[in-house]
Amino acid sequence: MIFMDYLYSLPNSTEGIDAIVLQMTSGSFYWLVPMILFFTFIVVFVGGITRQKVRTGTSDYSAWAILASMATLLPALLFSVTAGFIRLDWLVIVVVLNIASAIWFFLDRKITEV
Amino acid sequence: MANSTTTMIISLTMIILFSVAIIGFSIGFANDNDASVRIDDNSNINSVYSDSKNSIDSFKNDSDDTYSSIINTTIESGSDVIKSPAVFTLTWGNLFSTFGVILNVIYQEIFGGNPTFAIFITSFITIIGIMFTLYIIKAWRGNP
Repeated sequence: MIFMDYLYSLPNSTEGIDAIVLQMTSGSFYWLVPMILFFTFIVVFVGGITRQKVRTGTSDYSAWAILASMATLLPALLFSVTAGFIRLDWLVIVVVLNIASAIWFFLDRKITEV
Repeated sequence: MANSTTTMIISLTMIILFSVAIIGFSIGFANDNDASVRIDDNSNINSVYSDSKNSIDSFKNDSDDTYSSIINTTIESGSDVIKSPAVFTLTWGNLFSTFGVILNVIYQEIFGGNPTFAIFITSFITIIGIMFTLYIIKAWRGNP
């Protein structure tokens, strides 16, 4: 029988798939969570403004920015419950992104819209 | 004049209220679920949260005082009308300074306070300055 040497240590799969994901994110693939958050933001932001433009002819960029950043905050908070998924500075960046979107949104409103 | 000023005050108030709400929700979520990564471990976020809350509290007190002064105003029979609209004035309070604190946390946390971003932040502050100047001119002239 030939034994192969693995180039990476296999995750311990006896404790369920969540343990595998946690082992990945805290080890070799720590960009997984930021990529998920970035994916969420881009899907909501670009998808929203694109579909709104197709349907109505114009897009409310600032409204979709604040909506996308709030949609990103929810999984970021869920990831913050367990240690190893998300770092503090990433969570802070998501919260600050929310505040920046709010500044854009509320200063973007016309005088008749507030 | 009143329209633009009111819009600006409401915009700043909503920005600060949103900041308080989103940070407060994050802190509450961490407390409820005993989270491992807590947003209030960051000192900049904490300072924005406390500053925003104080600002909103003082703004609320100012608004209450203004409201009280309006409903307590009496005009004696035969007296002249009020010459000044001072009783209807809603002051800016420290909304501007809190807005500066919020801008500072964006600079610190997203751009890391790195000097290489100085040109970006300088341009951004210039644009914000132009916006404020235009708002002030608009408030001074009134809307067409």
